[in-house]
Amino acid sequence: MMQETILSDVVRTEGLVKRFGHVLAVRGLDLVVDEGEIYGLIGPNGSGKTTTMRMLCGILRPDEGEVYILGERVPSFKVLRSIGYMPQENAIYDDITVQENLCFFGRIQGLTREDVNTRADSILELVGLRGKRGALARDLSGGMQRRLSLAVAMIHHPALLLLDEPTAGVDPDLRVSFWEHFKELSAQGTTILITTHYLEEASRCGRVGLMSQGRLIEEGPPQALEEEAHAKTLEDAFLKLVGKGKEEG
Amino acid sequence: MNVFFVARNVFRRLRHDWLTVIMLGTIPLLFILLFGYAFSGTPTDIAVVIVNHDSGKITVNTKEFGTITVEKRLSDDLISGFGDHAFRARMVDDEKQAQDLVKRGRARGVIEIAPGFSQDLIDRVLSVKGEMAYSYHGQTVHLLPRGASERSAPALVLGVDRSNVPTADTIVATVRSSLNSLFLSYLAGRDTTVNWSDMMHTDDLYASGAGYMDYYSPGVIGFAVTVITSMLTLISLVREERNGVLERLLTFSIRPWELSMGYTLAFTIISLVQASEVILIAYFLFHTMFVGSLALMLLVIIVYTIGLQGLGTLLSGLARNEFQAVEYALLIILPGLILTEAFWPVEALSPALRPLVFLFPLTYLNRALRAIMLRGAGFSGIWVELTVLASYALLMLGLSVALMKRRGYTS
Ligand SMILES: Nc1ncnc2c1ncn2[C@@H]1O[C@H](COP(=O)(O)OP(=O)(O)OP(=O)(O)O)[C@@H](O)[C@H]1O
Ligand SMILES: [Mg+2]
Repeated sequence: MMQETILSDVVRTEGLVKRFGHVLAVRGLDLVVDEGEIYGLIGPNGSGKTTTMRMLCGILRPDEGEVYILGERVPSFKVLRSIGYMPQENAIYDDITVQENLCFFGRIQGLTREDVNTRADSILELVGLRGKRGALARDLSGGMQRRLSLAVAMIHHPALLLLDEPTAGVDPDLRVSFWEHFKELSAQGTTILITTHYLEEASRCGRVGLMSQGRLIEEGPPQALEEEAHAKTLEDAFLKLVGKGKEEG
Repeated sequence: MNVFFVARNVFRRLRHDWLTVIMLGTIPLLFILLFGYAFSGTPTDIAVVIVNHDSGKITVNTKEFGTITVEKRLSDDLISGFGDHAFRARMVDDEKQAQDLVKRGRARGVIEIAPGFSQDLIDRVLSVKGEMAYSYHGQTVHLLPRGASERSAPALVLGVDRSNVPTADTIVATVRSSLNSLFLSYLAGRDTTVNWSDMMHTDDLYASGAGYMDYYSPGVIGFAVTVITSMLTLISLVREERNGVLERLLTFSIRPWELSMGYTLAFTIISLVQASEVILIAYFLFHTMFVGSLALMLLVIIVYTIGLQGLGTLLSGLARNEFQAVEYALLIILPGLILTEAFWPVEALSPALRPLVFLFPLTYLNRALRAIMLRGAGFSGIWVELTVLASYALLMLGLSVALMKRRGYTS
């Protein structure tokens, strides 16, 4: 039984703490995300969502606590191949083309040239950049650059996607198709941890974690959160819960 | 008014970048202080080897006693005439040994004094003066010219390593001036000068006929490679750092050493292309001297740029923005201009600064390039420099990989 839980946890953190000087960005976070789950991390600006993501993918070393990804203790080189991280900033090479970006990141993740090309085709289709394959990344619009960054995170078909505001600046049409795709991926067993400020998106997640001042103050399926806060929408719930969290914190 | 706002904003931004402020303040100081303290004029303390075979036996005709032989080593006067600072002289008995020291770069030149030096000098003096008073066993005797004496070879032979043009010139000038003073001391009161030009002969042991252009071009190559590589490495890494790509790469399954080596490979190719341009132009347009192996030269440049990129990577980890990157690059470049023998030999620096020269890897590159281009040195002639550069490259690569590791901390 014990064994099984460990295997089905794709993400598990224990008492995660991160300080930046005097700022306590994350204070004692215990987070568990199961296989195939879409977990939405929401919370006001500066509540520690990005910091958490960066600790999960091994960029930041936690001051306290542990991170386990796919049962491996982070930092682990082995596990990197199974992670697709999309940072909050675009982090793409803006002086090469869309195709060249995908190609470079794909090859680094161990894809063959053929694999990269076929993956690039389907991913560019998904993010709606097929026609921009040969365009320099810096010539793309802001939302298109965001889409390219998402494509880069997904190029190697990772088991875990860590997406930091993937839909910020992306138009509604495409956001809808992104979410369709996320659901599809999740049905195929991909685990997705996503942050967003669009709460109608958050309500599509299997579970939502509400962060405030570095702590997870509420967690559960979106409807449960709404009910708990006696709110009609997740947005109302967010506002009530965060307000309450502030009073307590 | 807007002009004022823009200007004030520049200073506001600097307020949060104390490193830049400090550098903006200190770089000009560093520059002028280095220049001011660095140069002591002409080279001093040049390592030379003196082979003194002067017998000091002078056979002369006298009015009083006919032909006598006196003992007087005039070569000692010649040597003391070099002064205390010009040379760091080492006396050896054997020419072979002396030339070997020059070959191994331990000395810049050999001063060889033939057995008949004193004799030759007095003969020339007497031939001009006609007669000279001399104290012989407490008695004043009058020396007379011996008539035409047969001189087979020059009494003073200099062998200089002309691959170091400034020191070679200084050696020749110093010896010549000491010899000239020696003559003048014997000819005091007469304005007739002795023609002693055939008494001294200079051989270029290496880089025969090299001029300043030949001397400078290895330095220009070394310096150009330094400027370009350090700027390139620092700025491109800082740029990637700034747009988050470097950080993102660390979440991909790429090892820090692979990342470092990848950059190193690319920057090395660029540096090589640029070094080749300089070499080609120097050779074909300015006909600079080039007697050694091009392949060896490129090898040395590669090893050097690898170390330099490692340093650049380290500094890029410290630099928070492009501004700071340029400042760090300047910190590499400025001393490179003055303290690395790019344009001046270590002997031309003031003695207090000389030890610093050996701390800069560029010094070893410049020395190796000069040895290859001007002396035609092979592997055995530059192995010391190559070893230093290779150790430095390994150290820097190791440190830069360690830094990458720390950034990502996922090994
Ligand atoms: N590198 C850093 N240095 C100093 N403080 C930092 C650093 N990164 C984050 N912080 C601080 O940590 C806290 C959490 O920041 P974080 O970026 O995790 O918030 P977030 O929840 O992602 O916010 P947003 O919704 O705006 O993206 C903030 O107070 C922020 O100022
Ligand atoms: Mg964030």
